[in-house]
Amino acid sequence: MSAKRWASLLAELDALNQSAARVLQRTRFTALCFTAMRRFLWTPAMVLGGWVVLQVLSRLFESELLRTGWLPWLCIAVATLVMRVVQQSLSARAAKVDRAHAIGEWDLQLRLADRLIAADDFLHHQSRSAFMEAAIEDAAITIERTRQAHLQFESPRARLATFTIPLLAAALLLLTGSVAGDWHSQGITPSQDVSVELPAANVQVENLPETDSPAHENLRYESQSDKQAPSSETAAVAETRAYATELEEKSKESAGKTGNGRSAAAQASTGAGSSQGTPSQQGQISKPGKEKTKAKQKPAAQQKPHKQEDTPKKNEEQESGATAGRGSSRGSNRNPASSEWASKDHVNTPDDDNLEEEEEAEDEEEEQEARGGMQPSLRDRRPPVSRDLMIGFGNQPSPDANGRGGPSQPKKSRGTASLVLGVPIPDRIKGQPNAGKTKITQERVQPKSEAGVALDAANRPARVAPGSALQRQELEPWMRSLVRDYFLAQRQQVKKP
Amino acid sequence: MSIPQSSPVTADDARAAADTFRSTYEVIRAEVCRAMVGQADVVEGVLTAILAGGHVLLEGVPGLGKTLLVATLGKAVELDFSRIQFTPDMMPADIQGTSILVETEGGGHELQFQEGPLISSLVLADEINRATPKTQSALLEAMQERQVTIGRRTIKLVEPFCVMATQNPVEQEGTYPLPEAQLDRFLMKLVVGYPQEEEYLEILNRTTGDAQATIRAVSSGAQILAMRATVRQVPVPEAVMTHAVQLVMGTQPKRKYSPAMVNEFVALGSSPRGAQALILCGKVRALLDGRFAVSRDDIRAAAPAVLRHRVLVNFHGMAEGISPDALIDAVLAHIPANA
Repeated sequence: MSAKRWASLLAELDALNQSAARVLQRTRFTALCFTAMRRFLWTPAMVLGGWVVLQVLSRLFESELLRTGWLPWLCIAVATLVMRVVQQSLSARAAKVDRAHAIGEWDLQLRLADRLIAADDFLHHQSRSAFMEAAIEDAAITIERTRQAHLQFESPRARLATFTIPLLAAALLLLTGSVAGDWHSQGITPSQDVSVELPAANVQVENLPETDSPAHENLRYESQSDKQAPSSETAAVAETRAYATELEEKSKESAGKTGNGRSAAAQASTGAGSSQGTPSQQGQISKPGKEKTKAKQKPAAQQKPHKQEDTPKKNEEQESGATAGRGSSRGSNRNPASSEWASKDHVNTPDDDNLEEEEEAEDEEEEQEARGGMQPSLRDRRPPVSRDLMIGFGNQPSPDANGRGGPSQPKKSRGTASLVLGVPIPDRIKGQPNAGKTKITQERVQPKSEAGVALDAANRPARVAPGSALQRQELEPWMRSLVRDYFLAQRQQVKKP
Repeated sequence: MSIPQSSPVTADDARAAADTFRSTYEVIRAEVCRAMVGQADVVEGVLTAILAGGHVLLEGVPGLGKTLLVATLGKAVELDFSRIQFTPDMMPADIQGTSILVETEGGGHELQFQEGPLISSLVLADEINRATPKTQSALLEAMQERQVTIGRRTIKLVEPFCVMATQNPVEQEGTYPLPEAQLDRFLMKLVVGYPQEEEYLEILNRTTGDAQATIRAVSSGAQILAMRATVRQVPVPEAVMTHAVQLVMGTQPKRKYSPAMVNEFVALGSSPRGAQALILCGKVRALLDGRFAVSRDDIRAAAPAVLRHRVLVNFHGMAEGISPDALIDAVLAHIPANA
């Protein structure tokens, strides 16, 4: 074979290499992208799932810190996936296809038994043996088959479709459900834009005492469900909301007895939350009136979500018998005995207190009217004396003692506290349950020489302890002589017969 | 039949040498198959080993024709043939030879060296694992260095030298497993299985009648040496060599190319001798296939026979019933041809 023929063969091999390398690069790039998507698809799923879990936790524990909007999480999820795919694709682009690999692909797909690889390798040798030349000529014959052939590779798309579509669908379903739930909890339709609506609401809030507009109703509802507000709102929106809440609280305080604010509250009952009113509460009204009905619908609308959230607390109170003394089915829980004892383990937030006070004030009015006259206002009663049985620390009196109850002062003549001994008995000992710290005192002492007593070898007694694991006790001399005499006597007895 | 004496110069010479190789191979194989029924893979493996210049270990239960195959091959290629029946009380001197006291003509005595059966061209080590490892180790030097050293005497063995050992499966009674150093010196380990149903009929016809097949010498030691020289001239592309190295490294646990199965169940992987054996067997296969260069398919086809006795399964693998063949299949699946 002439050198010209070999040069053309080398050119053909170069062309084969380039075409195969192009296809391989593209296939590898696609495969790596899809592999990256398949491998890292859990990342956005985890992010979205984390957001949903946070939403659930925020509703369970009423924590504002956990409550965030869905948009940042979606952005993080998509960005994570995109970054992973880009990283993989860049690494795929950086890795070049080996020449032997590219030509070997032709060999594999056309079943040429590595003839092309061998020819390409041997053509680059400086000195060729006869077998190398024979191999090159052999490859020159078979290379004709590559001209009409095309490399075929398995498409990774099909594999991706079967694997990832359910996962993607589940993630999208989760996201859609969460977003829809979020919108529903805010009382807006998907077409409404919260950030656009809120500045208008701000204007309405300033005229709150005079006008009762639907915008104000929305604003009131948002202020009550402040904890459910998305975190994606801007700072201006947050300030607006805070201002609206403050104004509303002021209006509530002013309307506490005069009923001035009740009309605004009654208007709020026509909002989104009014549909949540329970019929049983309406049935308890003894004097139905137009204005009063409106006034009663407001707490029904406002209490519904609040009652759902306070269900564990109320169940606890009912179990402990704290509901004793309630007049009606919705009696006040201002029972001194129950409220004070429960206050030890319960921490109320300021928002809860405000809502409870408002709710209880109206409850008392209802009860008084139901009893047919004005009753001594239970609200005006001072909280009961401390019946704390805590004795104090050591001999110190209890810091909570106020002189009217408790064991640290002269005891009362009645009540549970009277049963407690007047002598303080410390039930808690100061200190720590373990042995305590070990105190080590070091002092510098000059070493002194001591006279050693050397043992005289002759004075040592005979060894008594066994010399090995086998127990063999050395006999004392008198025992040895005794045993000897015994055996001698035995032998003499044997000899006699 | 012409014997090529020198290296081919042109491509035509190479083609002629390859044709001669193939034709000689076919003649030997046909002659062996006159006595041996079936077992085509085993016959091909034995011939490949002898043409590649290696030794063969045949494993199988008794009665499958292992000894017959080797004896027939010895007759067909007209080599100096010797047979050693290994027994538990055999000593190294019984194989290599020893100095014995001989009476001289003058009535005196002198020590004369008596060669053992190992000093031969084609050695059949029958049931090699019935001897103790001490006696088995007497073959080590002969198999690798092609020489035997006894005392101060070193005897160069005549080429072609080939040890064909048969062994019963090591689970049988009264057998000693071969040392790893000796196992590694065998180019291939061929597993002789039971014949097929139609082959049974042919075996019965040939062996129970009065007609006995007479094996002719169709080749010679010189031809075998010439064929070995042809094998050595077959070039190997770098990609194919790389593939052989990857396969060998794939049998070694905790290496770059080893699959998880190897990492878990292999105590000892193949040595570089495994890669050498892969290449040599690949060269023979390429010539038999009418090609002038080794392909990766040749390497992969030779891998089970070449690597199965070089992979030592650990205790965990034995408990799990993992065979070396399964491990090699895992390596082949883990390392694709065009990796």
